[in-house]
Amino acid sequence: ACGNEGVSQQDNVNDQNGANSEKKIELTYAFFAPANTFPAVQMEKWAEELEARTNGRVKVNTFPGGSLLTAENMYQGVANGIADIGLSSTTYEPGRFPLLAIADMPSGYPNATVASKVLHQLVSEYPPEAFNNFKIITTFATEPSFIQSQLPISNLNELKGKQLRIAGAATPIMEKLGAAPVGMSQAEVPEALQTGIVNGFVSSREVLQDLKLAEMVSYITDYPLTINTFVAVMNQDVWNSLPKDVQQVIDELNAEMATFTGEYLDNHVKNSIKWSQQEHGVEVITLTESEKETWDKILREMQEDYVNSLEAQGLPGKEFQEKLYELISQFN
Amino acid sequence: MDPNLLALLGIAVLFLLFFLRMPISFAMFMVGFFGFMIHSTPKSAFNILSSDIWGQFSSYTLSVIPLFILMGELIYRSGITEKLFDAAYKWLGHYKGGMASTTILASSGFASICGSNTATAATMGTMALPELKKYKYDEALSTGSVATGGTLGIIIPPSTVLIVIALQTQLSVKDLFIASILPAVILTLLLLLTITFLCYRNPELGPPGPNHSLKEKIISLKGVIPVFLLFAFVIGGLYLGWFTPTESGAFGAFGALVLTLLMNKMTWDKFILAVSHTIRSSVMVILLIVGAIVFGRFLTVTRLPFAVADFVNSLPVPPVVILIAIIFIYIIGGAIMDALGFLILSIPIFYPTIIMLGYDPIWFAIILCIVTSMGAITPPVGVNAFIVQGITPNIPITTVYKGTSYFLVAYSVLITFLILFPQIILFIL
Amino acid sequence: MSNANSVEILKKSIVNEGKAPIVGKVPNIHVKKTLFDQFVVKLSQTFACISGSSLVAMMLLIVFNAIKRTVSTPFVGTTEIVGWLAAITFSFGLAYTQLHRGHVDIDLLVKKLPQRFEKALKILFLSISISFFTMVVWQLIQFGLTLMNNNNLSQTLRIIFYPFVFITSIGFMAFVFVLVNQFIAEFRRRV
Ligand code: NA
Ligand code: NA
Repeated sequence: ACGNEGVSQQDNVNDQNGANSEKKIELTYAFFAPANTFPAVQMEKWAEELEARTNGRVKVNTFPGGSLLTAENMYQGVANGIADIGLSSTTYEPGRFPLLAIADMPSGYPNATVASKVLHQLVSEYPPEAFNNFKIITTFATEPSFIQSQLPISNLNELKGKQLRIAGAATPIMEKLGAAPVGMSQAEVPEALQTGIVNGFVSSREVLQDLKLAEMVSYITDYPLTINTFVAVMNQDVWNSLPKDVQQVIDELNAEMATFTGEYLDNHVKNSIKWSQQEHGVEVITLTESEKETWDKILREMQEDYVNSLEAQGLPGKEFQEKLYELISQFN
Repeated sequence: MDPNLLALLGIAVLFLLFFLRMPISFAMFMVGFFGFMIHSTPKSAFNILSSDIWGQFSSYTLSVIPLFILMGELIYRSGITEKLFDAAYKWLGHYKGGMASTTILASSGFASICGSNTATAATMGTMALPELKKYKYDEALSTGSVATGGTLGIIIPPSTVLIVIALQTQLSVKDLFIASILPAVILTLLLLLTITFLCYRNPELGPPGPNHSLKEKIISLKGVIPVFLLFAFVIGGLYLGWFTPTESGAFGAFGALVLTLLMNKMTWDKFILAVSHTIRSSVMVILLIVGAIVFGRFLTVTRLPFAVADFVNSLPVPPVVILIAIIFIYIIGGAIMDALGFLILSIPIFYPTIIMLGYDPIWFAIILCIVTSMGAITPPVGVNAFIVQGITPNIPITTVYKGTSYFLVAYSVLITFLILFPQIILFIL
Repeated sequence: MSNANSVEILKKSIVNEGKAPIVGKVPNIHVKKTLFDQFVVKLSQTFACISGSSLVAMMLLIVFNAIKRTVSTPFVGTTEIVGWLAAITFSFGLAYTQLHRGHVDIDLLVKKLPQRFEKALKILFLSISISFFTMVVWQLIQFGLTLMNNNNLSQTLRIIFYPFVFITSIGFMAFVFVLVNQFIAEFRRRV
């Protein structure tokens, strides 16, 4: 076989003898979205840092764009050794990460940096059972999603029955708020907006510029909704085969990458909003204090219900939720 | 074993299996699987297999393929296409190759509602091939016209390939769609020119029919009306926002069913015949797609494409040589693996280089789209050619490739044109 | 028209339409039809009925959803259900397609080889294919079990979807039966 496992195992043997092996270690790192998306930027940054901090001893081959593993098969693929490391969103696998789903629900995250730091902390304190046989490399999160629409939405009445493109996790939440979620692939959104199949979408706001959607919507409702959590994991055997000093570098990068990614995305979103306002006159709508409270109440109730259902299953939902809010106010 | 060497060996074995008559899709599956197994571990190869089969079989995006095929089948079994081609024959049949030209024009019409080359080839193949046979057109020219006409599916907007490129490069989908219109028109004309040239040189390929009186011509138009109504419904529905391009397959099939029922041209037997043939074509297409993806994953993990890219990017030659080298790699890539898979894999590798060299991103995106669509008709892995062969099992694949090879000249002329005169693409923006 | 009725007709007509090509297309079977032959044909046709019904259901669901969207609000699970129906359409059509030898191959070289060599190649490839796709069945079951054990739910409807993976594996199972049948036929064929 010409996989990298053989190489790394040999390294391990040398390392156990106390000798610092000069042998090159190659790691493969897969991600499902294209190279220009922020998680992929993070992946490249991580690869670069790891190579630099090990003086080029570790080489990371990155596979963005789902060329090696797709979102649906990322974690399973790493378990089976298709890639050594895989980056995916736990939000995409409902049911498998019951506790993390609490944090994905609207909880008042101000931005991606805070969300990333909070999730990083939560994942280290409550490592998901599904990752028992993995080494967690890093955790970060998107900025919250916002309603971005063609007509202004400043209260629940205006939201009622609006057909919005919504992906996965936000669907039940938007239904609860009275919107009519429409499921379609991201690729279809521009045309669907143009022909009026949807009146807007719920997403983080970098798409306004990245996918040029600012051309087709006019308003952002300034109310933070769900986030997507991303976790990068390494195959446990590969991790065990790595020399101690390399493991150390990887561990030290864990928290750094969460902060790096959050800040990178926040900066990117800021530019995207500025561009949308200047080039396409997109307006930001602020909810009145009482309206905001109404939304908060509905969504908080939803989260409580979910937490209670977890408690009933014997999972520490309450404790996790308390920690979540504690961390949000701590990092804010 | 060196991964790059393994990849090359894999390609060699794939070709060997092709020529020993293993079904194309099976061969791609197996070489991809065993290649992955040798490169990594059996466990990882097993996982690739099951997750890719499930992922593609249950893909919403691919579900349009059987629906578009069903639309074509329903129209064909009801006898409407016969009327359509009868009309075309009366108007254009006395020109040499007139019916093959009709096929190209019909394909471009269909391509303007459908974003997929495979769906376009399958639909047009179902409708046009039996008719071309009836008018005694050469097998190579007939199958070649249909397979090549199908590639218009992704050059004429809407186009799945342009959407993929836009998402990867952050270019505007709208800009790409607009920019592709003129090249698409030129390509269509070049394809028509190719047919005319071939048939003037050798009238046997597309024998001219008798002249018809104006009266006969006008009466024949009656048969065109139903198809025209269906196309108007599908295109109109898209622009009025009744349905999305993905949904248009379902509406096309549903519309065809309603229309043929209203015209009293649909019986249960015909319906069943249409459905069972749809199943056969769809299964053939989906297995080809998954096979190509599994094989593509094997090539990806060996990093052969990346090695080739690094080599090209490091060449100490003028920009235009690198550009041509990259286009050449896309042609080869499209020849040996699924062109769309190769595109997704390679854009992050080559796109930055092209921008660095100072070429216009939109211009390059359109060139890429054209080269990629050409990959669907180049041997040995030409998805459109396979589909056409699947529809007409008694015509050998080599005949289909002979047919598509006529049109590769037109493609080359277009690509050369676009490199020499980038304004063709860019003036409109 | 009731659904049961339409399936019945679909079945009948496929049998009628299928008869001639099936006999005509499997080359040189001098041996009389065995029970296994009949079973395989029956199985493929029944599965083709399910495949076709699933295709029609897919079409109707998409149309229904788009109309519902214009009149009131869309049915949010449409894309997911269409995907699952597509999986049934494709997998349950596998056996029927193989029965009709619907897969593309290149016969350029083999045509020129002696008959005996061709037979040997066919037997070899069919046996490889049987082993390979049996493995696919097994792996799909494993994949479904993994999804089941991971408690994976679908993204939008939040329901379990592993049963559809098992259903897909059943489609591949029927496909393997057809391959075995063709292997036996090829083995018995005199050249
Ligand atoms: Na098109
Ligand atoms: Na090709």
